[in-house]
Amino acid sequence: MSVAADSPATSGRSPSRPRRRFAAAEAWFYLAPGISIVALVMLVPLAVGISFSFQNYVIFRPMSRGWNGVENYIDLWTDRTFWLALANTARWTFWSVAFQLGLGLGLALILNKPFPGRAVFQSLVFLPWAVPTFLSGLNWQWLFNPIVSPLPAWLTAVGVLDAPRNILSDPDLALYGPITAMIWWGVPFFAITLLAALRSIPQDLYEAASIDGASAWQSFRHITVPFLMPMITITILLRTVWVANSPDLIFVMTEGGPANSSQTLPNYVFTSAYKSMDFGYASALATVLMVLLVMYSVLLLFIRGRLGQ
Amino acid sequence: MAEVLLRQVVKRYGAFQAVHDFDLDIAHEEFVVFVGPSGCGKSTTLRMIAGLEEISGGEIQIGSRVVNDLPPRARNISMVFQNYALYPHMTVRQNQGFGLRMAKRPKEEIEEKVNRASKLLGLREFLSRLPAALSGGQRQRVAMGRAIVRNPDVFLFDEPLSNLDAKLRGQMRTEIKKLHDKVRTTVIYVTHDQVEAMTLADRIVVMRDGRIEQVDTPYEVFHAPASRFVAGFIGSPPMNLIEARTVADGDGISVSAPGWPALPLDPAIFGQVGPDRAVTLGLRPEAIAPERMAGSMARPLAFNADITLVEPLGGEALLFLKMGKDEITARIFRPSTRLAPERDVRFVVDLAEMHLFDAGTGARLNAPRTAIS
Ligand SMILES: Nc1ncnc2c1ncn2[C@@H]1O[C@H](COP(=O)(O)OP(=O)(O)O)[C@@H](O)[C@H]1O
Ligand SMILES: [Mg+2]
Repeated sequence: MSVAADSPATSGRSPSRPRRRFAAAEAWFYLAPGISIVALVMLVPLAVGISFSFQNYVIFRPMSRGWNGVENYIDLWTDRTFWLALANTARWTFWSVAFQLGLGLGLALILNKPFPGRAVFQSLVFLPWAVPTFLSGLNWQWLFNPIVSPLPAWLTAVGVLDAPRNILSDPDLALYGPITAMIWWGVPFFAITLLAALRSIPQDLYEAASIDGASAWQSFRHITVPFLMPMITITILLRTVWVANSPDLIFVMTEGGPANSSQTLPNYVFTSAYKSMDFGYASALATVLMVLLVMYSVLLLFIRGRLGQ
Repeated sequence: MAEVLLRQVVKRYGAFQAVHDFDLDIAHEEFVVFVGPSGCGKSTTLRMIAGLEEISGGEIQIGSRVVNDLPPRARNISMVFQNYALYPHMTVRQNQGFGLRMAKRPKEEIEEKVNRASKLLGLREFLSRLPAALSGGQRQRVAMGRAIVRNPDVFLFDEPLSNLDAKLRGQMRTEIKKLHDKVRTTVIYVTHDQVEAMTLADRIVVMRDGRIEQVDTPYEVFHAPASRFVAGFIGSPPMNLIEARTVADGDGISVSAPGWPALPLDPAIFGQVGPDRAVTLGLRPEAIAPERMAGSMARPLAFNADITLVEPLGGEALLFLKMGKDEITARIFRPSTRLAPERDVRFVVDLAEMHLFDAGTGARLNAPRTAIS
């Protein structure tokens, strides 16, 4: 068969048109189950959610439900809580991710060097990850309570606070309570992924560099960082989207208060939907958050692509 | 001037001792090859010289400076690793210039030195490529370029050719030799391949189980192996090693081995070997030939044997003979007729090429050769 098939006469002729069309249809046929599942569980709810944002949809007033164009978005533009929540989301996400990255990288670097008791230390480091967020939120709420915890007194002693009081009830500081909890809870994720990336760096590159005269810092700068960069980018991307979207710690620790001062967008979505029962407005908020995160992701991947060249 | 001195150097990994009392003086611009089977401590010794492994005992000097406690970067050495250890995210140019960049040398100097090394190694068309886009031989060259550019006192090579195919290995071997002629520096080269050792070395250090078996020129190591181990390790195909005994024979002494005729010892060479001693007889395949093809021999002794197998290699052929329970290899250069398995063939062995080792310790029993003709 090989001789016949390879001869120019047969290989020069392309398959007939109907056959080619059938081949394409066949591919779609095989892909159909996967595509329908994706559409069903992801695209349909997404479309439904976005469509809510163009409706007047308040559970208390079922009679007035109907399309209202961009009215929800106009309300949002003039809603001071929305702008506050947006700024808080940025603060919350930035500080959480920045500290998680810094501390996670530090831990990964420490854990990458052998030392006595490393195995025990390593499992301790990864423990917070196993604690349900809800529980760690409650824990940190107690830790910030000066009546049951020494933490406020310590913070006062080192000069962070002027008096041992609960930062969760201070409108200027309330958001930093959940941020602390989020950092504590999320550091292991960075530590695990970065440690895995560190372990994949061939050891002899460091040996070659040390022979080439590189100092410890130069080895870090010229070998470790370039090797870690892809992993850092993707981890920051994942964690940013995750942290920006996660309301639970704030919900448990401050409920967005006092007086909305620690409200972030996901919390505001939740409050709007299940306290005010305004699904239309909540959907508009959620849609804005999603669009911002998609823009952020595209930007980050674009920058990463540029840097990679 | 960069001579390298090792004094009673020891390496321990916990309870396991990988290197025992290693003593060696390496002269300025000398090419020394550490050779030995896998796991004998060659890399460990080299890495102690490089500063990549801590020295458990003894002293290492480079250029009359004790370097025991100096980090690799302070020793002014270069190393070529077995798997090259090129920086995968840097171009060939950046890889070669890395050391100079770390030392904050001016851009023009880096550029100039990298260009010079690249020209020497034929790397100029690849300067902008990443290592992933190079063949094994080219990567090898980049690794050498990176080592040369820094103009080190000592070059260290750890099995640099063992990841290359046989043909390329031969080519690179020649290039390394030429390179050493051009870039005169002290070289310490580790390999398990005795051909590399023989072709490259000014002096060979044969190692076994963390100890030095012999330090000598390739000629001496081949013609006067200090032990049975060296005799069996250096030379391809390896020397025939036959368990035997010495016996009194008239007024002289002979070696008696099953299947062999009595092999009389030359008293000028084996004067101190007494009778009735368990020995290992060593005969290089080149010292045995069928009588009809044998060239001139200093002390020929004839015997009969069966040829059980022939391996023709073109310019030469290997014959396998059955002698007692041993299989003996003979190596014939430019065989004049076709060779085939054959019974009862007349052979000659050159007794002047005979080596004798103590059966217990493996130590060489010949008086050391004084004059080499
Ligand atoms: N890090 C280590 N820990 C324990 N033993 C080691 C270590 N490195 C090497 N060894 C042992 O030391 C011996 C010599 O190793 P090496 O110098 O790598 O041999 P080679 O001659 O093949 O280069 C081997 O038996 C090896 O198992
Ligand atoms: Mg080795």
